[in-house]
Amino acid sequence: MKQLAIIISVVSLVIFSSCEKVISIDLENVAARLVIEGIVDDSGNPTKVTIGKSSVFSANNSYPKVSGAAVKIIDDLGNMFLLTEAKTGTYTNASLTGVIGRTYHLIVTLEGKTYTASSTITRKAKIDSLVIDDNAFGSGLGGSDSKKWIGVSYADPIGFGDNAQVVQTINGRHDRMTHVADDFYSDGGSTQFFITTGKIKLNAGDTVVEELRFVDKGVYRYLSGIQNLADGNTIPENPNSNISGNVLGFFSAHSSQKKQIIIR
Amino acid sequence: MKLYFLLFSLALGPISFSQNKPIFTISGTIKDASTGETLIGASIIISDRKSKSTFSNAYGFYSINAMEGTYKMSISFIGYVTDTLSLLIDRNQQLVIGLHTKPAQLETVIVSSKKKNEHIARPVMGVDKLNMIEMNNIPVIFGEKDILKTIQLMPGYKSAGEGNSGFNVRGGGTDQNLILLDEAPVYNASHLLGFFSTFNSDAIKDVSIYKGGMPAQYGGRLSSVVDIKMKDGNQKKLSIEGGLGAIASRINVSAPIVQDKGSFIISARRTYADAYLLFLKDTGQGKQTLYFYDLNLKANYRITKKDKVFLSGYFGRDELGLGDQFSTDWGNKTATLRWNHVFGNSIFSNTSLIYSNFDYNIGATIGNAKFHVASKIEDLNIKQDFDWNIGNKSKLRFGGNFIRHTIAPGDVTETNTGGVTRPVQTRHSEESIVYASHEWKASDKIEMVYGLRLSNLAVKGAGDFFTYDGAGNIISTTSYAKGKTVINYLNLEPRFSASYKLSELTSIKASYNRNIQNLHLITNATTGSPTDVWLSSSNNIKPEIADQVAVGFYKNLNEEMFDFSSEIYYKALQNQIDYRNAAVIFGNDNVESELLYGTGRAYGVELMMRKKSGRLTGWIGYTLSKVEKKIEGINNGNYFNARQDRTHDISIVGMYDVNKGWNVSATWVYTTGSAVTFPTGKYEVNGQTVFLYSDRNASRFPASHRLDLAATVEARKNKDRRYHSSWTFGLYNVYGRQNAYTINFRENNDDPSKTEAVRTSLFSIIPSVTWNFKF
Repeated sequence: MKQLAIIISVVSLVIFSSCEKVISIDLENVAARLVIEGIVDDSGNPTKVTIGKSSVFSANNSYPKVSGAAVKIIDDLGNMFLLTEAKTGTYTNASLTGVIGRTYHLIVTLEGKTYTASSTITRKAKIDSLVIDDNAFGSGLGGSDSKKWIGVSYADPIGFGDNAQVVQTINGRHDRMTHVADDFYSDGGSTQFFITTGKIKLNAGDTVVEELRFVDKGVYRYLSGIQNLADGNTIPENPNSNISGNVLGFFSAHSSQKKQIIIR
Repeated sequence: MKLYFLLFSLALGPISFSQNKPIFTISGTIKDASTGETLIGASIIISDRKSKSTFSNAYGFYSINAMEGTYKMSISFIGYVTDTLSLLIDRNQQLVIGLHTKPAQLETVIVSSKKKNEHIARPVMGVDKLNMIEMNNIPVIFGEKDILKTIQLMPGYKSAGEGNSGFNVRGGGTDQNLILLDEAPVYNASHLLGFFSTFNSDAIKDVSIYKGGMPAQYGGRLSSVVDIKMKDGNQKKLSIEGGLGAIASRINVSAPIVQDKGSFIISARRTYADAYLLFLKDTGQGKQTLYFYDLNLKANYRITKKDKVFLSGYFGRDELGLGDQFSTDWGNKTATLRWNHVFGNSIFSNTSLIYSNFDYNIGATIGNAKFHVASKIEDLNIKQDFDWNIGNKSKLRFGGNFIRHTIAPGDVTETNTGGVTRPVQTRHSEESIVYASHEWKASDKIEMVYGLRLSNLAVKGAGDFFTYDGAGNIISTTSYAKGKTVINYLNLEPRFSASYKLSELTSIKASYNRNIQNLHLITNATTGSPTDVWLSSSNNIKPEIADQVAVGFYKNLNEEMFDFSSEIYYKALQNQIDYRNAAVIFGNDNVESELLYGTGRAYGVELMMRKKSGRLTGWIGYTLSKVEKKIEGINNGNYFNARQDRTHDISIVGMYDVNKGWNVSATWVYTTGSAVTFPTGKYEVNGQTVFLYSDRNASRFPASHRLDLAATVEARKNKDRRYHSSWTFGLYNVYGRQNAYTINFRENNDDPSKTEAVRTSLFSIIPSVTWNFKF
């Protein structure tokens, strides 16, 4: 449970935290870097790879897309799937559906350079239940404004090394956060993974969809780095991508299951 | 007059030297006459035509040699009336000397920080002594006087964060300071997540801090030694003192066990921070607790004229809880049993048995899971030291010790979900040390201390030890039986420090030191927490090594009213430790797979001008410094600024004695902001904006500065009353400077298409008041 490790640091900040202020800082800007994000899942969602670029801090959050790449995915049986550019910077293949236990290799060729990554679908994802907790740990401690947390229950498979990601959408909109958990401290039990809604306040009638993904170790480590960056408690660093060639982003082959809950 | 003496000694000197008179030793103890408390570092001078001098040691013991004859002996100590006696030396003698404190109105005027020209002559450099009287007057946050925060006002010592008792010495990490309380190492010297130190200053007699030329009897950390000695207790009568403060109260009771033979002291402190801190805002989760307490105990007894035993202990605990969802408690326990014995008249021996422990427990309920975490680090240490006064020009200190470390780093168990938890192995290691250090007055101008320290660390089973590949994956596992040695690290640490007197008022000094550190604090958080993990050197972690060279120039000015000191240092660091990205440090049996190694370098100039007498006393300190690390796998293997790299650091401390018991003081500190990593761009991944980072610690927090004030007023003395009391008023951060504690970058709440920087600052203006009493 990642939460356990960050508890103390959260508490320490809250005890004495007194004043927050938005300030202006002159930041150094580096040249734009390539960002690749790829997804293969077992639930029939289209296989999708997006390619874009980073921008400067002061710009609006709209990012340049990169067109004209050759993108393919090969599985460990040697089947090759070509992805076509459906819209600028987004490459898809509707016929590729992930299979549990199989490893997928991503190969992106762009301007004479090749970027590769591998990811494995480890186990089937299955949500047992969703619960709403008005009083989960950390509510009111700066983690959540709404005080409502949603508990995603699933059986952790026997054996250490299982990694889960939850993608949360509220009324059809992604919550713009990363939620990952592992079984590092406790293996094989029934796990309740509490997902904050962050700055989004839940109201009666809101529909929340939680998508549970079981991801492999490389993807977990990357997303865990993204989650640490958002927490702001560790020295900030770009997470280590599982894609070669010094790019930003990640390639994830995972299992997926969605469940929905309506707030009352 | 001076010339006359000079001629006199020139004429008679050779004659007296040829007389071959027998040499005798005068030895004994220097004490406070009214309480019997031994005085550390009192100066003893005996003179006829020529003078010889020495200082009392950590137990108040001194020993000085002289040829048969009649001498004038004078004994002096800060804040005390100098005692001068005429002495016929015709045999070895033991002499216990009691000094009287200066009358109150005099005391405040002539508070001087150390013996007037001590810093000119003594060869050890990079050493600072805290004056406990001075410390009482320096303003501190919440009005809680605190030695570790006062240290931070001197050049070379930097605060690890505002209001934090952690500190960095000459660029070193906060874990590179050896903090000793009556010889026992204190592993986590802070309360309340860093805002208070564990040292209740009521119980403390003496504090010496070494940032440079550490003598060979000290070792185990790279950057500094803070040697804290507890009071022994009143030998004459019952005495009670204490204070009621804004955030804590304390009481201190001491009394003789048998008058003039033995005494004890008990000192206790408790905070009530939970009574009104912001933490108390109701989060609907039940009772919240937040407090700490600590207890200092010490007893001593003189068995014979040559034997004395001491038992001292410390116990401190922090409690923090949040309803039934979360609770944690942590604290240190130390105990020291010591036996002093004097062999003959000139060999002082001390034998110590030392126990030290830091542990914490965490209970947390997260969803349906109930976690319990238990962690401890424990030392058992047996130590023998000899202090041999060979002659008045030569002092030898030698000894050794054996320490057994036991580290159980954060074992997590979970009880409710039916899962299994992964145990973290307890580690054992043994350190064996021998050392010798020689203090030598080579001539009237040259003095030196040089020594060697030989230490061996043996990493012991039982346990599984792993080797890892470059990516941190396990390559092999070897099991060792209980008591089996996994690896030995034998290290030699040379220490050298010398002074050369250019005149009575001016000197230069130079030193070279090697220090070894075998215990490493592992933390990847930007702020320290009690759950940081200590690790011993192992088959993967090599001992950290620091080589430091320093030179200094010292001068007394204006009839010794001012002293000026300047030191330049360069430190080379080896086997420094850092972490992989997204490292799991807490409760990880394979935490060593998350570590990266490299080197470091630190250098700087420290200047200090101190005014030691008059109604206005204080100092101005300035440090210009740099500290960088170079770690394989971070920042492309290039040098980067350590977080604690702060180029400029200024502190100004002023204390003014107004009149009739009014004392006001002010401090102003300025420091360049910490070296941090700010974004150099942004991108989108997983549906959210993520910030892009480039070079490690290439940016800076804004500079931080702050003015603090304090005033102490002694209640008017009433002859009929047996007690006296005082009030201390404090004002922290007078002009309300919002210094950055953290700066975070995030999407704008109202407009997620924009990003912004948010500064969090902890403390604005904080007033405080404390009432102190004594009877």
